[in-house]
Amino acid sequence: MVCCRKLSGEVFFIIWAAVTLCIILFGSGSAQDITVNNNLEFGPVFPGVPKSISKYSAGEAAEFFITGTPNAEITIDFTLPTYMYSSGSTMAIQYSTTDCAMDSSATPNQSSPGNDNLNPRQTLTYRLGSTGLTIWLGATVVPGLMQKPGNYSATITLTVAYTGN
Amino acid sequence: MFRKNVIFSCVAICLLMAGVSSSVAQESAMIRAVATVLPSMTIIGSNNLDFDYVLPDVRKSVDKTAIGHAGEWIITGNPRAEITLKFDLPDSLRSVRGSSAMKIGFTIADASYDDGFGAGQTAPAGVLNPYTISTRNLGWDGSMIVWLGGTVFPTRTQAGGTYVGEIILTATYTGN
Repeated sequence: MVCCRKLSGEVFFIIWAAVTLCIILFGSGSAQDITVNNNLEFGPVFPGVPKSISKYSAGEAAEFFITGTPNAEITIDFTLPTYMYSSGSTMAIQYSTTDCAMDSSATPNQSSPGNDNLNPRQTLTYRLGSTGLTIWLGATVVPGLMQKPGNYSATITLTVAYTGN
Repeated sequence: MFRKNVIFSCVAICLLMAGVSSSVAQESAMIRAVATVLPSMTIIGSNNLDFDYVLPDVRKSVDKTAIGHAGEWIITGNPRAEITLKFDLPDSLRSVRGSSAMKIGFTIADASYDDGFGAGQTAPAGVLNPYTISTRNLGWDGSMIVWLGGTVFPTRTQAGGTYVGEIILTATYTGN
């Protein structure tokens, strides 16, 4: 009985030490979290008339907000669709090499972002700010002259990962 | 032995936490790109510009308000959409039986349109200059009618016969 009580004390101490160590080793860095603030909204589109949404256009450009370990370096990758779909019909969607922008300041400025004219087709590397990182994306749809009327949509995926730096 | 098992378990817990930590080192989020495509535009030539009989050396005009004689197009598209209108005008008509030509001309007030805000061909909503590209809006019902008049100038020795020419009206959405 005495032996068991002694062992329980040791076990408790070892577990406490292990958990504390784990918290110190792995709990200090926050995981990232991505919040979608805005979809990429083209609104009404006329057949035969390409329509562009600027990354500066509040309420229309796509907007993501990333939080995580302050000042940690991350990579940012977009998965960009080539077409938008509507019940069997497709409509081309294009991205220029300057259609992305981001701002890591505490007060992100969409009309004058801290890091502008980025290529969304390439992996982007940047550091989170003290409060996070806001990313904007614009694009252009190219409807055909006889584009079938309707609501078109497509999915854009943003993936972020710590580099460890 | 028991102590070894406890230590092993603690190490396993640490590794598990490390695994959990690394598994959230990458994060993805999705958004939707959304757009609403509006109806296409159609344009139909509903009446030819018809000068009927023409006498040699007597010029003849057809007014844009002349029902059944003025050229007429009916345009349909998205209500109140802004469009541009561009005429391709011939400078002469050609005889269908030979190589004879007859001059045709247009004035800067020879075209008109009604987008529902006028009273039809005789009192249209406005005048168009057929030599320039005009920007207008379709009506609330998405339609517009365009009319065109013109003048032919037969010569004193104009060969008899039927003369034709092609007049094209191109309507294009501006995107506004």
